[in-house]
Amino acid sequence: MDDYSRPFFRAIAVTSLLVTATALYLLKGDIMNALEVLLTDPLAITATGLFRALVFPGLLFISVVPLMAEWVERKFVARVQVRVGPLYVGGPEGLLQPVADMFKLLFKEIIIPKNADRPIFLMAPVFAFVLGALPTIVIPYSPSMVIWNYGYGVLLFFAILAFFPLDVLLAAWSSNNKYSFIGGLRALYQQASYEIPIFLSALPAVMLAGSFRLADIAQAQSKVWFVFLAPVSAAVFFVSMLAEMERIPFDMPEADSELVSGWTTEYSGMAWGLYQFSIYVKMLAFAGIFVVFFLGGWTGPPVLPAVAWSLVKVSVVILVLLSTRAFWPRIRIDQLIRAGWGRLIPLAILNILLLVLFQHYLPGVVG
Amino acid sequence: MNGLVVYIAASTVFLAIGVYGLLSKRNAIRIMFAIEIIINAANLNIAAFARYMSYDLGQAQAVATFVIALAAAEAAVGLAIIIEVFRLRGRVDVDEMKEMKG
Amino acid sequence: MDYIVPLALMAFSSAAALFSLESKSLVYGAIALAVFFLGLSLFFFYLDLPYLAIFQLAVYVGAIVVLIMFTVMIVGDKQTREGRAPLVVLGALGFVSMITSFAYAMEYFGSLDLVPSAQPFSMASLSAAIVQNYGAVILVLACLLTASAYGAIALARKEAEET
Repeated sequence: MDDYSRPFFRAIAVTSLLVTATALYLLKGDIMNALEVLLTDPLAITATGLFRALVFPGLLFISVVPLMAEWVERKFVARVQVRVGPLYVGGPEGLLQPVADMFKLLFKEIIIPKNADRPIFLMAPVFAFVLGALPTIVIPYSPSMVIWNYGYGVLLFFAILAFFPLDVLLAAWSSNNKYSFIGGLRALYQQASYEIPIFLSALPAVMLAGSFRLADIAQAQSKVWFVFLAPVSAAVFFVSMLAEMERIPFDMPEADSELVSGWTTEYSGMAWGLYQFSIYVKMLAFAGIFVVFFLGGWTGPPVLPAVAWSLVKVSVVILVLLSTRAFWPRIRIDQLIRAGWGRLIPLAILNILLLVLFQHYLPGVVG
Repeated sequence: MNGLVVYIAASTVFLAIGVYGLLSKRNAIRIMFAIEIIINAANLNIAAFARYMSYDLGQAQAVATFVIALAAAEAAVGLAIIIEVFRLRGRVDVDEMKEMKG
Repeated sequence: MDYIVPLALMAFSSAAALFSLESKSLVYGAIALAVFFLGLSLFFFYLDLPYLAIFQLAVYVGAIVVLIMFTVMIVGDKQTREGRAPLVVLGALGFVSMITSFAYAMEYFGSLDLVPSAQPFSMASLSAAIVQNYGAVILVLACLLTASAYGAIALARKEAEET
């Protein structure tokens, strides 16, 4: 490990210690319970809280999915552009390419610019990863497969969402680079202005289900999915989701032809890797929440178990999200802001008004 | 003694810190920090009294929400003024803003 | 036992508040302010008022701290001359008077036999309060917010016209 990387890995160590301590404190009952279950009935381990936190909707799942998503994205975009994509690393079709990428990034030098603000510069990617992983704790994959079945999960999700612009702005400012800063300001405009339509377009799902608990919202769609009852909201939510994630039609913050690579310009090695990782983790969280709000969560014909339905739907949503990169050109920042404030917010509000009228005058038809 | 006392103490400490910042700082942005701290001290009191004096929690939270929304509006206008002052003068120290003196 | 969590939160939040006022760099001050707001929202969580806590996080950390940070970055860090001696004395006087009034408050509220109400939080009571009791207030507030947004945009847009 070279001299420059050491503070970064120290930052990671401190953060992971803090997170682990918090997790141990919160899970202390679950750990004993899991040990007990493991000794008596090892097959029932999937029903324990510890398994949920560490394996399935939790840590292992959100670490593996980004790697898979990266491979799918590269392969898919390559096929659309009549290329082959990753081919050589690990088995058929370069399946282990993301793992190889990860190891390459781990061993690369982390360069810290001379005039950078070192503590902020090094902590920002770590916090980005933690923030990207946090929404996962409230997203249900089946009635029991949810880490924290919180009564106000919807609100918590959007509160966590509000932290991202702060992190991006700090990363951009601490790099002390004009490309970084311009990219960071663009990201700030974009994320801050698209938080409003994304919240407004999520409200119809809450109104139809009559609850802020994500599991209740998914359960309420056992008859008909909300995407059929509120299609405009679903569309607005999807577009805002793309903008929040800075995926390709809206990737002005990273616009590589204009801004080198936006607010991540000065990041290298695993610090950059953590940012990429956090973007994919965030995508997983958004896909999960879209499925819960509009595509019925785990509900579906009983040919598959509930968790499998969730996973299938989440995979489809992630694939659609990834595919926009291959099909769409980048739009301009002013077009983006105008579309957000001038089109999406009025549409979302109109949709809420219509829904209120329908619920008042035609009770029983919807919701 | 009861639990409410701790919240009143916390609120008083925040208020004191805020007033200290308000009086001792020159930088307009620092003064903005101090104002936000004072508003939060007030909000903590609203929440704690609602919980301990058995007031209607819905009403208490509505009032606290209004306070937060007002703080947001105040911050937006205040910071816009600070940026404007910075453009005109190149500094944001409040004791240099004397144009409005009669 | 009832006091430990609020006392710890109070120590944490007041340390963050003091740091936000006393730090050399304004950016670090703004980060400390965000930590202070986080501490307040933990207070609200501990009081079992989840809506207020989450609203606090979303508005303060998501909007106000970002605005402050943006302004700090435009105005520039580290360019302050601190210290206004006569006013510090005044601040100390204010501090003393506040402690006195706090002592009076303690004398009254400390003697009462209060327990936290077991009233559960419900979104319905909040919406009822907003719609029935504070309908007019929220309309006024909406007008005010719109006006402040217009004002802020008008102030900030000037540069675009000049250059």
